[in-house]
Amino acid sequence: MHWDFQHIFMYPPISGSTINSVFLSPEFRIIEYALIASILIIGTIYFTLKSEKFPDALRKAVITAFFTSGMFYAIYADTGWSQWMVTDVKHYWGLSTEEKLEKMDGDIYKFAMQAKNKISDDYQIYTTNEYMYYRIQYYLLPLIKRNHAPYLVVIDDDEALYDANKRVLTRGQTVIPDVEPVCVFAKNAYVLKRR
Amino acid sequence: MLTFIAILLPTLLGFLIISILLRHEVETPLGERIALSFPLGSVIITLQIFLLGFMRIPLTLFNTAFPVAIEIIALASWMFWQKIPLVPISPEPGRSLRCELTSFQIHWAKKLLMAGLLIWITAKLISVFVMTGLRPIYSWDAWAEWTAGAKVFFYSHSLLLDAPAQDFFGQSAVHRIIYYPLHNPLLQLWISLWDGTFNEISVKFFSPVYLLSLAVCFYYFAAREMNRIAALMMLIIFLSSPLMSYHATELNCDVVLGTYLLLVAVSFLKSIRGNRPYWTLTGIFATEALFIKEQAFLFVLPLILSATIYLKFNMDKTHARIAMRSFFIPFLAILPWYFFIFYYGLGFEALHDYGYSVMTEIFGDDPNRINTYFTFHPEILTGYLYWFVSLNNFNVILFFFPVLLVMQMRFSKESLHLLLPIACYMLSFIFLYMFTMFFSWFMWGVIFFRNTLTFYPVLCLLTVLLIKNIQQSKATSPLECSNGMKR
Repeated sequence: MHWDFQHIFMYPPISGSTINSVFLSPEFRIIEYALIASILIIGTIYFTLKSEKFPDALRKAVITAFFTSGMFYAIYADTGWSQWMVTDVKHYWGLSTEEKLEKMDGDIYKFAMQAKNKISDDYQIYTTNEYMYYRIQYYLLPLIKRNHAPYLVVIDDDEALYDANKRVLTRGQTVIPDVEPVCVFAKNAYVLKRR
Repeated sequence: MLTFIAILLPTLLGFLIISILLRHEVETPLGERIALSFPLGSVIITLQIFLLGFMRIPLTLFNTAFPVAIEIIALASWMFWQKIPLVPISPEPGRSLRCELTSFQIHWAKKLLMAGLLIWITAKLISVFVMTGLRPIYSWDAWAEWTAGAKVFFYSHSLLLDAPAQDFFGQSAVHRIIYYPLHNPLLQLWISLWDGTFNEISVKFFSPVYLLSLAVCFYYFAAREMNRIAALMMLIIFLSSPLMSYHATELNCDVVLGTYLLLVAVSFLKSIRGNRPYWTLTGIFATEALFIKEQAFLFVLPLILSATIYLKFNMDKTHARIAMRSFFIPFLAILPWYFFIFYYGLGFEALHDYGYSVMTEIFGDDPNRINTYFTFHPEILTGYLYWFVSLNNFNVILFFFPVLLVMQMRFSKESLHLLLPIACYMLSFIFLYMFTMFFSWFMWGVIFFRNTLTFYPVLCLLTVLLIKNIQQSKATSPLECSNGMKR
């Protein structure tokens, strides 16, 4: 644990896992627990000295601790939210939707758009990258992925090998003869068509 | 602009329906009625679109918008004929936030504090809209499961039902889960039809609108139960959940479902407190929740039980019968969807490609056995305990909720009736992960937060009630709580 103010209020950037949980710095968590405990103790003593019965004093202290710690947490969380917004404004403000997608996905998006211009029917997809497997399908919609389709989309596939001379695509035990390239984006991103 | 019209029309439809339902009621101010409108109207539209698609009517802008236009004209005409006002007459005009901010009787420091809190809330809500507009659809579940379906509907102008049942809605396009209700993708379709193109940013804009509805309804509820400043602070605490804020900029359904569960809870509470038109709204919002995510039935079923118990033991037979009818009739609207999925075998057991590949590893050649395979993993309770005290994602709400629960001297009848569906909903997840093979989802580590997001708004509502009950616990009042504390 690295105790300095910047780290305590450090907020992680948006990532693919943000949709499931937002990291909370352990240092802030400890400060928050300390705040709750302090208010509970001080509040209970204070309200008891003000002639409240102990259970009522404790209840008031709990409610005070709830609102105080809640607002403190809200300042922390919304400061982090503001950082996210400032970062996103720097990255995305003024761009069109297509430019934003290109900024987000880079070559995957560019390749998908090139492939979409060339593919006019169903396609198969070969990749060993799970994210690309689904993301390419998403970008190629409404084109449909199915087996034995006329087009073959190959992207970041460690097992695929295309022999341009023999016009054969080999992928493990699978051998697909008589296929010609219709779009070559990069060495590991291309589209073939069965003849 | 056209995206704005796509959002405005369901709001208008919902508002007219609410104005008619609440025509004899003066408790609900205009702001709250508007906040209820979009959630109410949007599901009506998507249910209609589903029916159109089911009848193989092409899903074009004209075909989807024409029925809505007729409904709006018919409702507006009927309201004009019956002289039903659009703007309700507030019984206590001096109690609005605006009146308090401009009143000379309230200390300037208090007004300054209220104004500061209001500015904070407004800035937060505006920032959610700004963030929505900055990023295209980003989260996996949003684009792979929801938007993929919306895109195929948009480009084909149909629900793609001319295929074997397992290939409905585009052959599990990308990662689409076939038994998921269609509200989310159909609402995206509705917006896209108005835009004339499928824009990855425009289609997201219903999400922050749901958050806005949620925030306004939550605020009005809290303002009735607490003093103004406490209500504003409660709203800030509620909105500060970073997970909820982020979800409101994306197209997942967790916040949307959370909105409907909150609206059900608020409506149910008002019904119990004697506001009879709200029995219909309780039924409507409960029905609509069922078209958002399939797990809503885990809330709706115990709600039906709680409502039935309340009506049987707290109302005379005549009024109970009327209330029951008002509550249950809206459920007829969801029958076509349930008929559809069960007739075609698209229930919970219909796994998609990805589900099959994961479950086949565990169950061999019969992955559907996940639904009948029972196990026992009590260790998840330790996980739940940790997540409740960890302060992750939901401010201090999860931490304080059990504490406030324990500190109740007595539970009011309304709290108990509301606790039943919420407790059953929360416990159903524990049951699922403790006793079935869905335990593997819990071990993934983050499913707890996604589940919690759906009942987080209702938990905040209950927190307000618990705080109010604690504050009033010294009084020797009868079981039923009166409204609000001293302002």
